Amino acid sequence: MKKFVLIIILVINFVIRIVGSDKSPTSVNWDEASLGYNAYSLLKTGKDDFGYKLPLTLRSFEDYKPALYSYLSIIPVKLMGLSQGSTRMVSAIAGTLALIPLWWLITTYVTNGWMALFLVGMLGLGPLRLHFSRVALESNLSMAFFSFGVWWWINGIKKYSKTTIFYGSAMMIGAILSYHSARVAAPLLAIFLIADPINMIITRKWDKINWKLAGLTAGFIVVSVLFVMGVSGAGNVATRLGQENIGRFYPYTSQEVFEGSLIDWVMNNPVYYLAGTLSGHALSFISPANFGPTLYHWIRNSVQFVPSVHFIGFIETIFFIPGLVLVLRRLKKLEYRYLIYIFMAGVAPTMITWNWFHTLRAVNMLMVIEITSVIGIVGLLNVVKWKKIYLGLLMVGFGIQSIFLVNNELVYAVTENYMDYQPGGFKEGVEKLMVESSTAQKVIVDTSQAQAYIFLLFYGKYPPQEIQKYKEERNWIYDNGNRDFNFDNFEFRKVIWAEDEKLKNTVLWTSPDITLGQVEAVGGKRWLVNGPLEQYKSAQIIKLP
Amino acid sequence: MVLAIWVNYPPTEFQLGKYLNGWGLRILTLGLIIGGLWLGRIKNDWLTLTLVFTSFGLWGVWLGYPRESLLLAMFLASLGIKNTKIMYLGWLVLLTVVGIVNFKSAAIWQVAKINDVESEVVRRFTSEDSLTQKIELPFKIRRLATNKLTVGGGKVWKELVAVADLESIFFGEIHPLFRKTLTMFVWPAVWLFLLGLAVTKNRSRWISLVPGVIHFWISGGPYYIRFVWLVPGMALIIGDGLRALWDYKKWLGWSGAIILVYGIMAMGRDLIVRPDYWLDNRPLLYKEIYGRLGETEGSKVYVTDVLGNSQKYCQYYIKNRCNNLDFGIPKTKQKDEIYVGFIGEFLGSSFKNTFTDDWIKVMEDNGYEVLDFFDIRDSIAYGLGERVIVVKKL
Repeated sequence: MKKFVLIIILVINFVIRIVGSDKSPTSVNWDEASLGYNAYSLLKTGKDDFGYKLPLTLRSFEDYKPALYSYLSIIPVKLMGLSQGSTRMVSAIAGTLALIPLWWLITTYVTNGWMALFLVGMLGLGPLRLHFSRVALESNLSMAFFSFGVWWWINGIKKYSKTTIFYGSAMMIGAILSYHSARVAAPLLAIFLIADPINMIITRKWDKINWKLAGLTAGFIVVSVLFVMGVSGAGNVATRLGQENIGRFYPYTSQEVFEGSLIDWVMNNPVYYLAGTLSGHALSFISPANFGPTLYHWIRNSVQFVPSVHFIGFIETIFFIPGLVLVLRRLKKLEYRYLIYIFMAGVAPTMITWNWFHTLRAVNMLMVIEITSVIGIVGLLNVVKWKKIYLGLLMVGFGIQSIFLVNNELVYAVTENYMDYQPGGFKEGVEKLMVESSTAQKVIVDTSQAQAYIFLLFYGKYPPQEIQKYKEERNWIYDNGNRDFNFDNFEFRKVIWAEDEKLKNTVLWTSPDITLGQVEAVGGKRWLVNGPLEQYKSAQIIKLP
Repeated sequence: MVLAIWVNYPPTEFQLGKYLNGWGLRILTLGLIIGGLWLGRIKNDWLTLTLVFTSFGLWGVWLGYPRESLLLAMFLASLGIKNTKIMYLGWLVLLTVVGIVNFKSAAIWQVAKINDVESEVVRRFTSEDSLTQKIELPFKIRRLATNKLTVGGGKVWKELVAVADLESIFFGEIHPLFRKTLTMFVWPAVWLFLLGLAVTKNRSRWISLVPGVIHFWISGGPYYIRFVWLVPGMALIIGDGLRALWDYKKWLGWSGAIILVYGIMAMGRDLIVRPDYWLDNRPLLYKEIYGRLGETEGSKVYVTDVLGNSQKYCQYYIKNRCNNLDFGIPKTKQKDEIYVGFIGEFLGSSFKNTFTDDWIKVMEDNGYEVLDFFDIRDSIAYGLGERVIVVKKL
């Protein structure tokens, strides 16, 4: 019966994740477009958009995305065609399936099976889980693999079952091949689970460690991971880490305080501030103010942003605090130590990279935060006298919250973030642009959107074999945040109307500032491109005679 | 005290009394806080006492806010009341006073305004309706999702949860948003706090945090004022964490203590190097203005009052010469009169708080002679610029 209910929960969650994925989030961002287009390219040619045959990492925008998401997207792209819906399908499926290991884990802490089912149903509609599942995110896919891996590793170690450990390891390899974070998180978790360092501290076994064996085990794990990374392009991982590492903050405090003099080194040593920054990066995920009241600009302007509440739900946040205290006080029990290990492994990638609170990179430990809240909910249930009233309030509260969060994600969120990670206009206008460009001598694309070419490829379903010919032109020497390049008859640059109005048989994609009168004065035609809001005209297409 | 003397920060507006001001008031409030700690029996716990006294947030409250210091001293003293019922009653009275005096500035009352909630509900609906392509959820579902209860509840939730802010409490020195608030404890203490949460067995530790949390919700001003009642309770838990470390391994306890001391030293030096980054800049502004007015004798002088009671500062810094001054920049300026104010008060406010580089020429074109100018950090008069100018109308 419970399994049947679980299946219903999964079906409902899946439907909420896929419904209207072509409308909300309103359009794909450049990473989604790249994943989708690469799936299309692999399907059509067996090569990525650079022409690399069956790659394990996608060069993409020189950020070397692990390629598994695109490979898995080949099936929906084949079945549904290249679209927002097909590109986001893998993430929706992964986000739904990730609820299974979450449920398994919750049953470890909640003895009442119905209560566990109710909680997993509500947590499935949590703001970040829901949002990440409605966007094509490799990290969401990686998180699903990681969650299964965690469960099977924990059980494998508990039961000394090699088969279960093997399942877990296979899932962890899947996680590593899906997103960068797992390359740090998975081996670290393996070391934590094998060594159980908190137990060593509590039982004072620290002094009796066989350091040789420990070193060999850690070494074996690291070598294994390096092997997997090597297969998938270790140099590329290093490139990505080089772009994002924490070193950019040196000396980690204000340069007014640290100018490099001897007294600065003694009194305000950068190592002290570095340690503080690393601590802050890790602990920012247990600071409830970050779940809602504090909104960092790198969250606000990115795919991580969920309006109103951007990590876990309102109710979970409140119960997180007593839950955290209970977890910390129960560390003598193995299942509570696991939570710390998963948390530390999950946040490790954000510790070594530069952002303070980066939910995308730390999403592998989201389950820990949710389970901590569950522990808080159950912990209070055990002490309150009016249990039925408490449970009733909880159900009503979660019910209202879920309706709010679903509406928030499916409808309202579009109004808040359509100009940032969802650049308006391409979805609406590229089809027309492609039609007009087929007879034009030249197409000039003027947009403030970085790497706009990918939207033309994605929405225009541009033949991959054609774009692969431009591999040599795509050696971006410097990083100005924009990786556009000219291809076919498309040219990416500013439109200067006073000069460009003289061009013949040319199509312009530009801002709506140039008036109809100006266009008609030179005998041209124009089409305004709507954005996702009625009052927002995002671009216009001008055809010069 | 040593740090305060070293920094020697000018008094805040709240420390400019008729009979007692500046350092006199500071010494008095320090006495009150020490008295509160004594009565609160924290004197017996040297570790907690040390942690309380090394809280930079508490230091900042003492340095600039006599009323809050007095209330804090009373709260500290209340912790020593043996009869718990009387102690709770005392907290209730004190928190009522805090609530009344902060009624206008506390954010929690602002978010609960029903009119604002109503307009937010309408705004959300209007935004959703203006989408050109949207998922059409049934109207009843949308009404259930967006109403005064959910929107207002969400706003109140944000204010309530804001108290659990490890960044503002422990990571003020390295906070990525560079909030202008003093850290309550240096960052190494956060690990001891978590350890303390795991090991502390004394129920009174938790109870002592409750009034601190409520105080945060109902008070206003900089974060360190709002968090200051949490300092004793948190110091007790941090102390428990450090003791646990000590009991586990002596060298670990010593290491923890040494790192804490280093952190306090590092933050102390930071305060000495850039007090204007951490503390309220308005006292510095008026100290600077009245320190420069000697050059303008003989003319009628108008001094800006956009950032507090300029007249009070005048009385404090230049006393009898205040009769020749007027406060506030008038709209119509007269020939030969001197004006001291933010650049935006002459050129019009700027949304981005920035002004043209050739402002001297612009001022001259507008008929002023620029006599002097200086900059003040942190955009304290937002929209009016960071530059204070002394000009004469020609």
